[in-house]
Amino acid sequence: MKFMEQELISIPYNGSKIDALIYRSIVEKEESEREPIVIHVHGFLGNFLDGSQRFLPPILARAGFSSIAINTRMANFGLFFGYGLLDDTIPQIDRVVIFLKELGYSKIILSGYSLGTSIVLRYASIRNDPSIYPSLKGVVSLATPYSMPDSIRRRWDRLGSKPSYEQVYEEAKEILKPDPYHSTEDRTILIYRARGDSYRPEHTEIYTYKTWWFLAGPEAETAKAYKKMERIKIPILLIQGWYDDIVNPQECYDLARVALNAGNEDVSALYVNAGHTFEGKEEELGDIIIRWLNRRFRNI
Amino acid sequence: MIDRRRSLINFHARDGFLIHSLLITDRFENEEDLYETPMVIQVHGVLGNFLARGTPRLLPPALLERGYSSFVINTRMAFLGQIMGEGIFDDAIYDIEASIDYLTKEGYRNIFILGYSLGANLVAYFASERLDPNVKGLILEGCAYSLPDSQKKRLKKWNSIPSYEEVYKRAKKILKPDPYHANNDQIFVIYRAWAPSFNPLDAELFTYRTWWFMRGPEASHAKTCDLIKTIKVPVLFIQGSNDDIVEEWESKELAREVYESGNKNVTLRYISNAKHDCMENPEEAIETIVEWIARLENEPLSASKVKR
Repeated sequence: MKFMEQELISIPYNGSKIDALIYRSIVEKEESEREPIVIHVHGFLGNFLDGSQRFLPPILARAGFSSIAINTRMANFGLFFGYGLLDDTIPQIDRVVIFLKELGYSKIILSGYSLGTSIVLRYASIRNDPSIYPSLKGVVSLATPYSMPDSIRRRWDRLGSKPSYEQVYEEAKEILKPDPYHSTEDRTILIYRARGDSYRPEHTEIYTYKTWWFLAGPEAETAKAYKKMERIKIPILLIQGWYDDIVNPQECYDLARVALNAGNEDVSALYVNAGHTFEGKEEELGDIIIRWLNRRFRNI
Repeated sequence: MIDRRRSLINFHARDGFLIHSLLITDRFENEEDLYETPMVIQVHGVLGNFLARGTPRLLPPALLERGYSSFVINTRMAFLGQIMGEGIFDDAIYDIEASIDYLTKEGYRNIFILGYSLGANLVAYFASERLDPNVKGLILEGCAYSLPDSQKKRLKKWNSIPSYEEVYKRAKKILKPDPYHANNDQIFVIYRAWAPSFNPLDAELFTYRTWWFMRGPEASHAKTCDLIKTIKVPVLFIQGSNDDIVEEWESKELAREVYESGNKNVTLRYISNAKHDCMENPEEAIETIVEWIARLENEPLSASKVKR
């Protein structure tokens, strides 16, 4: 049975475009129950054809939830051609939210995976006044580093990365001084043994000094999820794989504690028997999100 | 009545690689018209994909306006393929092969293949290896005479770091004795590859294996000049008259080689006011492509001359 319609779209944005795949659920529902819609944000070097952005929307659509999976400026090559700066994604998400409101949606959920969690948590923390941003109703955060810079530093130290975190920091300071954001001196860097104990491509990370500075550097405040958690007032669902070798499962628990301690009464942290990509547990992941959405937005 | 379609379609190549593609067709009265209408498979350039700016993004809607269908594919060279190691040039023809199989099984039988930039070299290699009766012609846009020679010359021009020879030396050392099966591949950066600066946009990224089969001195399948003579289907070469990446003589020389090999159905057109991307002059580019396809349809066996 056909349960969704999929459309490739380009949302005009600032003289350019935001590419996206929209998945409209056509499962029969009351008109009032066609909401909320979920915005999916990709992970490291990802795009809407990959990973959870690709497998979650059809699962959600079967349960009656529509989705839009977007490519932000951090998608694909953003990190290593220098334009993938985390803070610059905020106006892009703003544009997508406006686009969805123009389509008639008034309840919007943000969902981020891995690096994408830094984007959605940052967004939810600065658009946290319901009187100004009433359409933002919840955040789903999958495989969330407690702090992207700390998480990366720990991993690189553990694996003996080449160059080390400290070396990259020293070089970045030198090249980007005095103003990293406006510096015109930037270049591509490779970090070997960053994701595993070999020099193979899958264990290598690629940045420019600038994109590294704002995502992974010690001064990348916007990428420290725990600082964002304190400011988020809407429901949060954290999901973490027990066997994740990129994000330590403890980080999920710690983040939930931060949010609860800050007074957010609707924080859920759930674990599945999966690794960082949730491979093999796609349906289980989808079911968790569907139950969470149903309880809050559909009275089921 | 068959509705207009713009669908995302996935299928696998013979070795299991998952190909994402975009199928764009017009509204037709009946299935027969749909399958008889020219279908243009389009193959992206370096680091490209079916949404990349220029030809991959602009050509399908422009062809649709003229009633032609498009099938824009992301091969294994798309996105990060050449950087993360799976984009082996020689294997990417499996992706073109799978696209043709997919379309043929659907019922399409009037298929053309357009390759843009790197995609043109890839399409040429494919056509030199396979003669598919459903493929009626090739359109090679901004096709380099030889990908290895082209990069070697460019890296020398900008005084790249490392140099072409240094990369070759390292690649040999890392990939020996069998580059195709080597399992200790690595990513590397070439600074000053596109201009004399360290700006990330002027750098190139490969793995030693992807470089070896696409740009290395032994990348025989990427040396289009050596295999173009074996292509027997009609070929249209198009190139921007102000192309800043491929030199003017390259398409001309390739077209001459096709012609002299006995394939008289070869046409060469330079698109005015366009650089490497012919869709910088969309009207002329579209008109050239559509006219050429129409002419082939009316006179499939006629011999055209190499002309400018």
